[in-house]
Order: sequence, then C-alpha cells, then structure tokens
Amino acid sequence: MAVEGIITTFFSGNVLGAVGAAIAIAIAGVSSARGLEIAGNTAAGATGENEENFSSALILQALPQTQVIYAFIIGILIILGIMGGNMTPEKGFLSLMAGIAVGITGISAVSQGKVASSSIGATAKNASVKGKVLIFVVMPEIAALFGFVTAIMLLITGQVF
Amino acid sequence: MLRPARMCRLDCIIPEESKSRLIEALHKKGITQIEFLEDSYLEENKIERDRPLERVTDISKLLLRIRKVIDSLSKFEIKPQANLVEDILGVDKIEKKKTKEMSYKEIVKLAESILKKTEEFAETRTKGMYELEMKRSGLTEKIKSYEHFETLDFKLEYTEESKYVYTVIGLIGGKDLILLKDELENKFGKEFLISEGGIFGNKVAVSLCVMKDRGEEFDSILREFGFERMRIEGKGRMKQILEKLRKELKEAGKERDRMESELKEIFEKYYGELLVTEEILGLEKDRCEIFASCGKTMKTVVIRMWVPRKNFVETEGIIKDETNRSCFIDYDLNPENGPILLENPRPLKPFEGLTRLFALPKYNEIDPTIIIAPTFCLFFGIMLTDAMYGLFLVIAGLMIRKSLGKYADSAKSGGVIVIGCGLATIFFGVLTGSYFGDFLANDMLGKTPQDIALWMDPMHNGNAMIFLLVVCGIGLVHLFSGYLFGAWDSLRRGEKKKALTNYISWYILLIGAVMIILTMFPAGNPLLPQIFMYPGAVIALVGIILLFMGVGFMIFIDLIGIVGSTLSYARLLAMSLTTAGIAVSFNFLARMVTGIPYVGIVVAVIIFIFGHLINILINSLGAFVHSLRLHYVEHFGTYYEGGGAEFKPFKENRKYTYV
Amino acid sequence: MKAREGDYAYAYGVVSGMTAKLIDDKTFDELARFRSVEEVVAFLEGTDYEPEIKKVVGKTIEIENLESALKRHFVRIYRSIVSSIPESDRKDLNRIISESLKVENLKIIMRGIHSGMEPEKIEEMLDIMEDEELITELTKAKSVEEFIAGLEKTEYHDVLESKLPEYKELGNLLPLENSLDKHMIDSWRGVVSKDLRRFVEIKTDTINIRTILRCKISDIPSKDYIIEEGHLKDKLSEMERGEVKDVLEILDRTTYGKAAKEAMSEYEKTHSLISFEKRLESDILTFLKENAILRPLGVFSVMSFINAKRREVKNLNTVVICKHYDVPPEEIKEILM
Repeated sequence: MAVEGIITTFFSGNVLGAVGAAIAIAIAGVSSARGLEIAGNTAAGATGENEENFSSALILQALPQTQVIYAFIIGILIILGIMGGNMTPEKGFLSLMAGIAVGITGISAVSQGKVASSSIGATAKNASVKGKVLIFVVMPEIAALFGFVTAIMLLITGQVF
Repeated sequence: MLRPARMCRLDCIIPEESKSRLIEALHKKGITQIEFLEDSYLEENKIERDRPLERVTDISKLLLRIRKVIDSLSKFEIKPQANLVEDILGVDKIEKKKTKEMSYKEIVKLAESILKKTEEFAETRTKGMYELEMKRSGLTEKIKSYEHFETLDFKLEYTEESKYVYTVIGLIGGKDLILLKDELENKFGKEFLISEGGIFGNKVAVSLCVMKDRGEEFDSILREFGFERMRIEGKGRMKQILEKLRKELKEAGKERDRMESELKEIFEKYYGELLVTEEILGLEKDRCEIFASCGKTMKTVVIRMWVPRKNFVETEGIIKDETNRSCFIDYDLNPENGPILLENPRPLKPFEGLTRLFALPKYNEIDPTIIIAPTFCLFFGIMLTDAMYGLFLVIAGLMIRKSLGKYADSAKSGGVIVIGCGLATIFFGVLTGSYFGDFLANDMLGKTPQDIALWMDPMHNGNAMIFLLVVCGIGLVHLFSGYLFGAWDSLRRGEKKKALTNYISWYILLIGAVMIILTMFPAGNPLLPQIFMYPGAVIALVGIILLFMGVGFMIFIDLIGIVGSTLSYARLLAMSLTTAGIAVSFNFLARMVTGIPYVGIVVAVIIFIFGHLINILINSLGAFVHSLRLHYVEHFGTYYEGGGAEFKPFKENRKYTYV
Repeated sequence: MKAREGDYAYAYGVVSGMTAKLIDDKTFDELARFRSVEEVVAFLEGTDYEPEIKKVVGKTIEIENLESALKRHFVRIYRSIVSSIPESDRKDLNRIISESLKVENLKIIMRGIHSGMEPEKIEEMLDIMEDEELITELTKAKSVEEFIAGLEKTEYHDVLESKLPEYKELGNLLPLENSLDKHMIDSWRGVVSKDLRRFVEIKTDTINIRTILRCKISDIPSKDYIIEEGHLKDKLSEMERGEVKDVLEILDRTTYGKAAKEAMSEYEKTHSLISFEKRLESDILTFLKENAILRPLGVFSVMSFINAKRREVKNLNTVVICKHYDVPPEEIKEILM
C-alpha cells in the first residue's frame, strides 16, 4: 500500500510536470550562464582595451540568454497547467518531455557563447563588421529554437495549458 | 528622413599660395569632409602627394613641450567623480573658455609666452621633487637599519681599529649569538666585550670588541657564525647620528612640500591657459597635416571633398572667396556613393544612435531610424510592463536631459530615448494592470491586476497563451513590415524584379498560407469554406516560386528563418513575465514582513523600495538589450544591410574653448 | 590543470582590442612622410605608447631614449597579455617566447662577429631584448671564442663551448647555431597545453628542415645536428640520405613542401642564407595567424598578436631612426617590414 502511494505521488501529473519545468530551467539556465560567461570575459577584455567596444560587445554578449528565456516560457506554461488543476499523469509526462527538450537543447547556449566571444573579438578588431557577425552568433540558436517548438507542440498536443 | 542626406563631391584644383587660407576657412566652417586621395588615384592622374606644411615641425615641438608641462601639473587636477550614468553616457563636465581667432604667428607667440612662464619652473620643481623623494627613501632605509643599534653605547669613530682595540658592529641570529659567545669565551677568555642592542627581525644587533692584535682571528670566528657586519661611517654615538639623519629626512620632506606647493601655485595660475594653448596648437597642427590627404602638382594643390547638398553653394562660395576666384571645381551633384550623414526630424534624431550602433545605411539604402524609433520603445514597453516603472523612467529621462544634456549631445539623446521607453512602459503597465507589480491592485484596492487591467494580466489564468499569440503576431507584423520596406526601397532604386521576387513574394505566400489556415481553424467551424483551400494553395505556390527565383535554394533557410524569427518574439512575453514575477515576489516579501511588530513597516518599505529599484534596473537593461536584438537580428534580417561610412567633417574639435 | 577553451575568452578580448590599436600600413606611410622626429613623437603621444613616450620628452629628444621607450612599451604590453591568459599556460608561453628572442639575438651576434661586422651594425639588427647590458657587451667581442667566453655565466656557455672545435674545423657556424636551437627545444619540454606542444613540434620540424638543407648546401653531414622529434621524425633519415631535390620531394607531401621549395629558390637566386631562413620562418607566422582564425579562443591568437606587435615596434624604431637621419620617405617605405 505504501509503495503504491509513493508511486502515485511521484508519478502524478503535477510532479512530473514540476520535474519537467525544473529540468528545463536548470539545464538551460546553467548553459546560458556559461555562454554569457565566455562572451562576457571577451567583452570585458575588449572594453578594457577600448571603451568604444562597450555597446556592441554588450549586445553580442546578451545573445546566449535566449535559451533560458525559452526554457522559462515552457516552465511557466507547465506551471500554469499545474495551477489549472487537471494535470493527469499523461499530461505530466508530456510536460516532462517538453522540459527535457527545451532544457537540453538549451546547452547550445555554451556554444553560442563561444561564437559570441569570437564575434566580439572580430568587432573589436574591425568595427564595421559588427552587424554581420550578429548573424554568426544567432546560428547556434536554431537548435534551441527547434527544442522550443518541439516543447510547445508537446504541450499543445497534451492540452496542458 | 527616409534616406541619408544627399551628398556632393567636389574636386578642387587651387593655387599653392591659397591652400592654407582655404583649409583654415574650411576647418572653421566644419561642413566638408576632406577625402584621403588614394595612391592609385594619384598615380592614375600623374600627380604627387602633398606633404604637411613645414611649420608642423615647430608646432609639434611646442606641443610636446606644453604637454610635458601639463603632465607635470595634472596631478593637481580635481576631477569631479562621474557617477554611473555620466560614465556610461561619456559626459565630461567642462566649462569652455572664450578665445579669439589667431594667426599662426600669434599662436606661436602665445605658446612661447606661456612656456616661458611655466616650463622651466615646472621642470626644475618636478625634477627636484623626484630627487628629494629618492633621497628621502634612501634616508628612511638607512634610519631603519641603524635604529637597532641606537641603544648600543659606543662612539662610531672607535669602531674598526682604534689604538688598542678592534670593534665591530653587526647583526647575528639569536641562536648563533649564543654559540658565538661560547666560542669567544673559549678562544678569548675574558678579553672581549659584547653589547647587545635591538632585535631586527630574527637577528640581534651587537657590538663586539677585542684586542687589536687578535683582530684577524676574531674576524674568522665571526664569519663562521654568520655574522653580518655593518659598516657605518661617521663620528659620534649612534644616537647622535640617527638624530642627524632624522633631521635631514624632515628637512628633505619640508623642502619637497615647499616645491609641491610652488607647483600648485603655477597650476592654479596657468593650468587653464595651458589647456587652451594646447588645444589651439592641436587645431593648428590638424590644419597643417591635412595636406597629406591631398595631391599636388608644381603650382597647384588638388583637394577632394564631400559636402551635403544643402551646403554645396556655401562651400563653393568659400572656395571661390579664399582663392580669389582662381580655382577649378569639378563637381558631382548626384554621386552614386558617398559618406553617410543621417538626416531625421528632431524628435527622431536621438534614435539615430540605435541605427548607428548596428550599421549606418549604405548611401542608397533606406534609413531605418523612423522604423526603429517607435517599435524600439514599443517592445521596451512590452518587456518592462509597469505603469509606475514607466513613470520613473520618464522622470529619469527628463532629469538626464536637463542636467547632463548641457554638456553632451549623447546625454540629450539618451534622455529622449529613456522618456520614449518610459511612455511605452506606462501604456503597457496600464493595459496589464501593473502598478509596482500587484501592489496597487492587491494592497491598495483589494483586487487583482486582472481586474484593473484595461486589457488583461498575462499572469492570470489562461491569458498566457493569448498573450503568446498576440506577441508572435506582433512579431510577424514587424517582420513583414520589413519586407514592405525592402520592397519600397528596391522599387525606389528601380530594381523592380528584386522587389517582386525578394519581398512581395513573401506577401503573396502569406496570403496563400492564411487562406489555407483559415479553411482549417478554428477546428470544427472554419472561417473559410473548404473550397478556398485550392486557390490558397495556388497562391502560396506562386509566392514560393517567385521567392525561389529571388533567392534560390536559400529559400529553405529563409522559410525556417521566418518561423524561428517569429517565435523569437516570444521573448517579449517572457521578459514581461519576469518583471511581473519579480515585482510580485518583492511585494509578497514586503507584505510578509509587515507582520513584525514595531519595525515591520519600516523593513517592508525598505524591501519595497530596493526590490522595485533592482527590478527596474535589471529588467530595463534586459528590455533594452533584447529589444535591440529583435531589431538587429530578426527585423533587419529581412531587408537591411548597412555598411556605409560615416560622414566625418573636417572641423575644429574644441573641448576647452569656443570662439 | 589544463586550460579549457573558454578560459582564453578574456585574453582573446584583450588581444582583439589591442589589435584594433595597431598602427596599420597606411598610417606607417603617413609616418614615413612626416617631416621630423618631433612630429612622430607627437603622433605617438596620442596612442597607446603615451606612458613611455611621456617620460622621454623634454626640451630635446634623444634618439636612444626614444628607442628604449619603444622597447619598454613592448615589454609592458607583452606582460599585460601574458597575465591575461590562463595561469596554466603562462610559464610555458613566457619560456617559449623569451627563449626564441634570446636565441635569435645570440645567433645574430654570432653571425655578425663571424663576418667581421662592426658592433654598432650588429646592435642595429638585434631584436627587442631583456638583458641589454650583456647583449651589448657581447656585440663587442672580437671573435666567436670571445663571444662564447662572454656567455660564461649563462646557460648557453657549455652547449656552445662543446661545439667550438667543430666550428673551428668546418669554419661554418652551423654546429654552434644548431646547438643553440637544440638547447632551445630542450628547454621547451613539458609544456602543458596541446596547442603549445603542437607549436614546439612545428618549430622542431622547421629547424630540422633548415639544418638538413643547410648541411646539403655546405656539404656537411647532417646526422649529428638533427633533433629526433617533431612530425617529420620518421622522414628524417630518408631526408638525410638524399640530395636537395630528394628532400624537397619528400617535403612536398607535407605541409612544409611549399615553404621549403620557395626557400630553396630564394637561396638559389640570392645565395643568402638569411632570406632562405626568413622564408621558412614566415611559414610559422602564417601557421599562427591561420590557427588564430580557426580557433580564436586559444593561445595562437595571443602568439599571433605578440608577433604583430613586435613587427610594429620594429617598424616604429626604423621610422624614428630614419627621421633622425633625414632619410627620404620612399626609402623608409622600402625598409619597413
């Protein structure tokens, strides 16, 4: 009886959903932070040498934040689903998968941080490329974008919110 | 407004004699850009490159000397500490001095006179101070090492060898001292004297004395035990010597301070003049050196310059005047390319900085400032979403404009942008019922934000999805407006085909896709009858074919790109939720704390103020950066390239003076 | 602890910022056209060189002071860059660069003495150096033996002295230069990072190629002088046995092929070993530059910049000295690197 109780508790829709939301924001959050760290170090170095680099470095550095924003949205949507009250185990499982999808693709933020770092350096060397390198930095986000779309589709299909 | 300012190119050939006058006049007027003639151009036209005026050498010499004096006095400059805002905006609070126009000879006289008054004085004082500093540090070191012998009572002139005895002073480690004493007792019995003084680290200062004839034996024993000998010159007791040294130190210090205050006097009397002279010399130097950009023949000089079309007539007039009409000007009123000078009406001018941050438009491209200005503020408002925060920003913007705007244009523009964003934030705050988060609603009116919102509160049940759709819709509109501008720009340039295949094709595709979608949604009761699906598909196909003709296989990336870009706008929702979330959390915290007796209210107010302040700062930064990102990456990606070179007029750069 | 890629992010930012401030070719052209040393100094005051230039400016400007100011500037920039890279690589990079410079200078002096150059002329060719006094003393040596004796207190003395008899026998500096090279490669053992190890290997290969080809040109057996390491390790004995054209053929299948071929044709045209070696060395600089682009977050960006900065300082030195002696602008442009 006790074991059944534990299983029902741990595998209830709410719990599964919560785990999904937590995984999403946790993994994406740490990845974004690492990406921002790498880009931020370069931004600091470049700005230290020449203050004019500040504004373009700032914008380039902020780009790896997208992944945590996507994870945050998915997290909120899952939480709204939980707050709505009818989170069946099936919906909970879909939410968990959505969380994993957007969380793990969020690791692309680390790579994006490295590209952002190189782009900040390129802009420091040659200020006229600051618009063009933006395109390079945005490329790794495509992976996170697909993760985000997949997560949203999962949540919509399951009518989570 | 929709395009950068129209430019004219002038190629002037003027006689050698009038080149100085002309350049001076142009420098003062400051409306032309003097282009650097490339080597290839010079070779093609078989002309040489001109050289800076000869007097630049003398000017450089004077400039170096003045800078040296300024440098030695600059330590007295009291720079008012710039606060963070001033720092970011790069504002230098300097009051300008009025000067008059001067000829070259007058400038040289001015420079030499001020150098005469200050140069030698500053140099001798600076050098003197440096030498005294060296002396002082040397004395301090000596004093430090002698101090430990202060308590030893002996006369220095008796150290080393005197008539009967051999005296030695120095340092020895504590343990070694004991061993030494033993050894000396062994070898010398009672025929030695030892006096111990202060402790110096882990060593002891001692003075030792033996009979003169046993000096060498003594020395070798001392060496064995690691005795560090000190040789000190002078007469009298240690105490006296130290007194003398200390006195010297004090006097050197006084002398140094005296020199410093003399320098300070000079600083107060002449520093301003020095800065002004430096600036004037610098301007003169610019006028001499610009000729390296020009070409020359035996008797003439070739100058190429750019000027906005509206200033063309005036410039032509200046050239004719200064050369007494003996000049030849070849002009192009309609060049294909040129330096970029943005021209926007006054309310939009502050936003030019945002365009410039990304890239200036090419000469024949659209100037996106009119588009960025409203949508930037709009997106900022959606992301910060709070009426009270918006009010705070408006007030801050007004204050910045008033106080710092006096000193720098960047502060003025910055202030306007902040005001614009603030207004948009107020608007969206009212729409979503956010006044310090849920403070107004919950704590003052006893309702929820949903109740007082003019539209709806995204945090409330079920609203998030609607908000998400709205935001993505805004994104789609923003993106497609980009295609519209691209089409307009292409048509204006006469690129009809490109307009159709690269931009209008998207609209065709959109119409087709919308038709298809409307035959399927809402599920069960679609808005369009089934029959519309086939024409919809055909139209969409036409759109795709046209797009393919325009961009080839890139079409796949572009289609994925559009979907991605639209979803990217979801961050508008996310950012607004974060602001609301943090505000609500701090309100909750403050609410909890009010329960505490006596101090509860005070602590609650503190939490309230700091929490919302932090929220404004952090989320304003986020809103600023992400709003820019949406413009630079998603929006510009549809139509804007940029890459123009800025118009840099040859003009006087006056920081300390004005005429 | 090995450095991860992300750890170079700060150094990369610093180096990129500094790259933007390097004086470009167009500006050097302008400097060449300035009318006087004072103008050049006034220009430099508005650049990164300001702190050092400030100290030497007075009523008159002494050329020696100016030159040493330029050198001090390089040392300051070098130190700030090295302090920005991950700690695990600092000692290694420092060793590599300072050894390189020292050995280069020693070779220049040796060659100068061997060919009977005046000490002042030798000094002009020297690179940025740290032990100024010792080096200046050494340029005054009258013979190679005296030179080696002057190095008594340094680590180079023994390795050079052991090869002295060979030098006397062959009348060729090769054994001495080679012993310096071997000593340098030896001192670089044990570098931690993968990138630096790769650099050491490439440097070893270049030295080997240079040695083998030089031996073939001067008809000396090359066996004793080869360093049994590097990428070309397996091909070394094969290259030893063949003629110059065989060596070039073997190298053709490696990344060094092109450089070796061009270096040999340089030599055949000019019969100057110096330009031959320069061509081989420039390959290393290209390697650094290319790898700096491929992987910006790494030590090669840093090394590439240090080379670029060295070049800038050398060129400024040239301009300043030429302006002092009133050399016309066109000639100055020829001398600039």
